[in-house]
Amino acid sequence: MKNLRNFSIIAHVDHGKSTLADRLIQRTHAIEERDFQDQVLDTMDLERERGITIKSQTIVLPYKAVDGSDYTFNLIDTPGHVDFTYEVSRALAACEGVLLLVDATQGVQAQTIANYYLALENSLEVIPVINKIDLKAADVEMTREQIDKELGLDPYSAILASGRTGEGVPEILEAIVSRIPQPRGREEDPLRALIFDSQYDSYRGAVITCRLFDGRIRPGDEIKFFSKETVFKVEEVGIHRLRRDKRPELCAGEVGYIVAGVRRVSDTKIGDTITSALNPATVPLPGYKEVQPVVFSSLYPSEADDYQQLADAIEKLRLNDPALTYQKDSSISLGFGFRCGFLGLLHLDIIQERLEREYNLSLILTAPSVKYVINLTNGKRIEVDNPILYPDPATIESTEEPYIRAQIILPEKYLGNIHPLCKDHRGENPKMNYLSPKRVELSYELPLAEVLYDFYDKLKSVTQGYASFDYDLLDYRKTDLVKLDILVNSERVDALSMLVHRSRAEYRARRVCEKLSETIPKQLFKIPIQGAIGGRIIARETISPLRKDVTAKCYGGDITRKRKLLDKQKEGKKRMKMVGSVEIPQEAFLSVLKTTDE
Amino acid sequence: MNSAGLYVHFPFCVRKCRYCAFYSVPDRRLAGRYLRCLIREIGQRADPGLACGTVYFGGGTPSLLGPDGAAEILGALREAFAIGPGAEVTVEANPGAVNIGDLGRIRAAGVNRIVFGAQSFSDEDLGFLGRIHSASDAVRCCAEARDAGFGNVGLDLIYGLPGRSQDHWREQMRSAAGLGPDHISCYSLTIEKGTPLWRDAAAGLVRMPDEEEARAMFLLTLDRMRSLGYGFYEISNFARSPESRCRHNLGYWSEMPYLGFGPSAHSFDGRRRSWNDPDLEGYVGRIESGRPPAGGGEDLTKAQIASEMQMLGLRTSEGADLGGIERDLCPGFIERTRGKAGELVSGGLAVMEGGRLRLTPGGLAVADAIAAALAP
Repeated sequence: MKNLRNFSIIAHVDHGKSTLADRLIQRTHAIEERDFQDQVLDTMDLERERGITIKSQTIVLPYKAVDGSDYTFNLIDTPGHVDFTYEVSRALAACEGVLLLVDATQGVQAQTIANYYLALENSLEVIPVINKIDLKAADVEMTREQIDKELGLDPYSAILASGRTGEGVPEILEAIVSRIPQPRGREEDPLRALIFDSQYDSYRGAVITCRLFDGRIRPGDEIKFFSKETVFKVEEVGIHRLRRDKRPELCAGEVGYIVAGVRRVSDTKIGDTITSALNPATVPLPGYKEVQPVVFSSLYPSEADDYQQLADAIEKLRLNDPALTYQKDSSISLGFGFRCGFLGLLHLDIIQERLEREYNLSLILTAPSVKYVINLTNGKRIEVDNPILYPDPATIESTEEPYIRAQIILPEKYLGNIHPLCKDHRGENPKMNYLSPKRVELSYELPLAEVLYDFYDKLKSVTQGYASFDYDLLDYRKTDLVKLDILVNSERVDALSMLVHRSRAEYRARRVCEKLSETIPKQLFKIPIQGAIGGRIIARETISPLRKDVTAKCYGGDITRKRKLLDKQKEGKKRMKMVGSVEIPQEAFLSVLKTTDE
Repeated sequence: MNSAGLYVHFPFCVRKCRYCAFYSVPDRRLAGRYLRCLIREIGQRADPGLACGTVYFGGGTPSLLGPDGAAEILGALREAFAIGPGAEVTVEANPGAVNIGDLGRIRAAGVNRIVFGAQSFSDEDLGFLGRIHSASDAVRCCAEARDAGFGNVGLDLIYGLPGRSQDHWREQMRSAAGLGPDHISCYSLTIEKGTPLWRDAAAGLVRMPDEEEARAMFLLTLDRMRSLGYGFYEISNFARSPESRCRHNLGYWSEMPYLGFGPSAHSFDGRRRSWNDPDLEGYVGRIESGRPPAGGGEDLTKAQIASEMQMLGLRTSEGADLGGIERDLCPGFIERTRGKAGELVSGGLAVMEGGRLRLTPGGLAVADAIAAALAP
């Protein structure tokens, strides 16, 4: 254990974590050169395409230190986006130290601070690394000053590095040895291992990634989870080196995987503690704070036949994504589906894409919603995150919506643009802190719903991408909520209803009506598209009817062609949703989710 | 009347028109060999007991067959099938590819209906379309055909050319009617993929009428044809009297059996539709080596036949015979389409009479969408 180091790399998004991880992997020859590719730990296509890390990954790095001793490093790579903060905290619970990366061209940003606090909460050793020093725009002195003033860390303990050129990598490896403590824990105590990830393998069942705090584990051992009484027999243990690498045993302090014939996805719970069935520990490890989803949307298969497939896929994704919640939902217009909870819009986006790509599903999503609190006239207090479940307004006493505290770090010159933006999004209680004469940390209290809709895109555009943003949930506050209904050809489309602040209703209604009128194909009759609150129409568009659609010539062979076209159209109709007599294509449902004009 | 139609394809043209995607070849060197093949195919598929009420020479430019070619094929058909004495025998003729002096002999060969592809009476239009004849050629053809003894003369017109006004089109219809034909077909110019016109449109060199303009032209056509004394009986077809309607085409629209000869020609026996090899050389190769000409086929389900009958019926003045479809092909059909049909009627797109759903002019303008909406 003396020669073991468990660490993570944390940073603001795009500050270079994955690239630095690549250099550490190459420098320690952790994997064969022929297996190497850039962003090597981002194994999902989606991660590589978008250049982001979504899932934590673990890899073992063998390292021979300058003092001649052999060390084993467990590197746990973490995502950067604010939606995935929980992934970071999961990874940190398995570490003794972190590399805190700061981009020398950008300096300390909102999530640098947020992630730094997470490391402090976990009492981890923090090694600051000033990255991207090879770039022309790098400003090492400015970055040092920010590390000093904004993080309160010794600026001269920071290592200067470049993930691109490999500069500073030897110093980083030595600092991991000298500055990050060896894991504590007792091999002779009863087994205690923290589950921090789990993947479903169709041959082996759940492959559980865990950090052993006490004891040891070998194939043949009988184990159980603290949250369940079921006993499983260990089939295989090992460590991650890009692929799974089988080992005879795992010991206290180590990070590795366990295969134990756990077939049911629901049997493993991230944050749970594994112990020995014969000689169980009495107290579980602290585990994680349960992550609470904050954004909700219903997912429906475009073709009703795919419902069961969607159910299976969501269950599998949920296995290593405890933040994803789901329950059955049904809609008059879309049939059966699932109401899912997400950590944010990126999370939603990623789940949708994974379901579509990895499980070959075609989905219809409903407008994302936050969770509202509704106080009824009978004194009851209910939570509603689904417009379908919104109670009769006559029974509502008052409504509340969640607020966040947004931390925005931006160059001073954009301040003039930010205040109107925040005010426009019902922001309150601004606080400003000059980090330097040219950099401002701004805090605003904003309704979460406003941030979800289009705040982030607008923030980026008014600051030309220079603002960084992070948020914490604050509390629930009284609000003036209404249910906006969308009527197509005078029939309410339940899947298009949304809960919005009264001041926003008309704007949102107009946008939805416009989008629908652009995406629903012309039909035989004109179709009114309306937005309504209760019986009051607040927006309206009309899809004009088809005016000319007739084939000029229809003789001998034309007849076959024409009928085949009819057959094809009939097939296409299966993917249309009927609302009354109007066929609404999948794209129309999805178009209303777009908040920006393309 | 329940007899089969015979279709003979002649896939040669003097020159290909700019809008045409039909199968035809401008190289007539194969024509002689092709004629032998046609005769042979007719012999192969002979069914002397099969009563046939119509013969139709289409193309391509079948008038290029000339009187001798027409006579030879008609002779072969008469030997192979039971063609009745009152049969309608039509030939399509290009005013620029018919020898006026031959008209009498074509008539004498047994052809009793001739349809001239006049397309327009504006030489500018004809140039745009890439036609090989002038307006005056068509005028002369009409008169000469009458003199040659044709009692049934038809004219084909094309409308909806880029930038042409409604008045211009009204003028063309008036000119056509002024020649006193028995039958007029008015086709809305359609851009077919791969044609020179399609390339020009794709490159933005010509601007086709928009949906609203196209609709106005279509409705104008229905209205003017009636005023000029030509009764509407199908989307693009108008006749001076019910007797001068094209019986051969009426057969297609009521799912009557037909046999087609020549490359790409389709045949239908009431259940199975088949089609000949679409390629001229492929076809010739098959026939000369004694193989059957069919390049493909499909057996239609009752639902498919119902779908076709409805689609075709909706295009005609008779309407779709929902009662007949229900009775013969598709039990429950009326019940299933009742809601949709009701909407069409209340929306002014159709009327319902005695189990027949008949489209109004507004409905005819969107007949394709209606057929799709009603498809069983």
